[in-house]
Amino acid sequence: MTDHLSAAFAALADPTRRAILARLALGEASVGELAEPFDISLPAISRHLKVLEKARLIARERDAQWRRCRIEPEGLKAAADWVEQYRKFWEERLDALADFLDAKKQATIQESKGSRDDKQRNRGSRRRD
Amino acid sequence: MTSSETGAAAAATDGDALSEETTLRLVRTFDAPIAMVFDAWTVPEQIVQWWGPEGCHVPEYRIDAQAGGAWRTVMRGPDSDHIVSGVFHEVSPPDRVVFSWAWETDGERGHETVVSIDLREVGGRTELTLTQREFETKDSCEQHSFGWNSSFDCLDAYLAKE
Repeated sequence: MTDHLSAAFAALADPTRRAILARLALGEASVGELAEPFDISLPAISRHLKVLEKARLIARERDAQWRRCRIEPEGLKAAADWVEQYRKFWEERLDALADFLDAKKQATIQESKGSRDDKQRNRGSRRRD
Repeated sequence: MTSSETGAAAAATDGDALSEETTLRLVRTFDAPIAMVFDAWTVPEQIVQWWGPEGCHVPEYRIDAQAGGAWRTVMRGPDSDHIVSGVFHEVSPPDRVVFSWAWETDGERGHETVVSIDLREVGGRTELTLTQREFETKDSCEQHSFGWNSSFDCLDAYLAKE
């Protein structure tokens, strides 16, 4: 997995940052507007925005005095694609697990049948003696 | 989250949909008793028999399937090795196994996630629910480079919370 995908997941792991993204999904916003619903300081919001920006989940206007933030759909898509890759990986692993369990069940049945046969053979041989 | 930021929790519910988007959940029913499925996830010699993807085998592994135990497997394909490792958070027979998970590239562990396996007996068969999610980070975990040590730090935090 590439580094910024790691960064995306680390960024998404925080509920405040997820809430910020959910707000930005509705449209661009300034830092002040983003801070409004939270009981946290502007510098704290800025730190969260830096994490999101580094993870390429949001973009901020470079030059404007009031740097508005907007969501970067590509970053989120990368995270969703990652989940899909894992879905495929686990589907295949679970197929293999099903095969393994079937084989193990067969082996267990054979084993118990085998030990029954052994007992019968032993009884038989004793009778022949 | 620091204590000054706990007020954000109320506003965080809007972000739950995003959390769902980054969580993988699979449900599968196996025609086998629950104890057999549990063993297949916790007995090292059994795990490696189905662990490697198509065309891969698992020539190296170290699996200490108990809470706090580390695990690492090398899946060897025709061209390359795929190495994945983590720490068991929970091994609770007969129905729950939780472990952390990260791919290793050039000796460095990538982003860490948590995989939960929950088993349920349904008429002699076993329903398995696999959930994989991004680490539910405390800031202390997050600021680490998600290295091997951070697994243990997070594990400590996890165990302290229990």
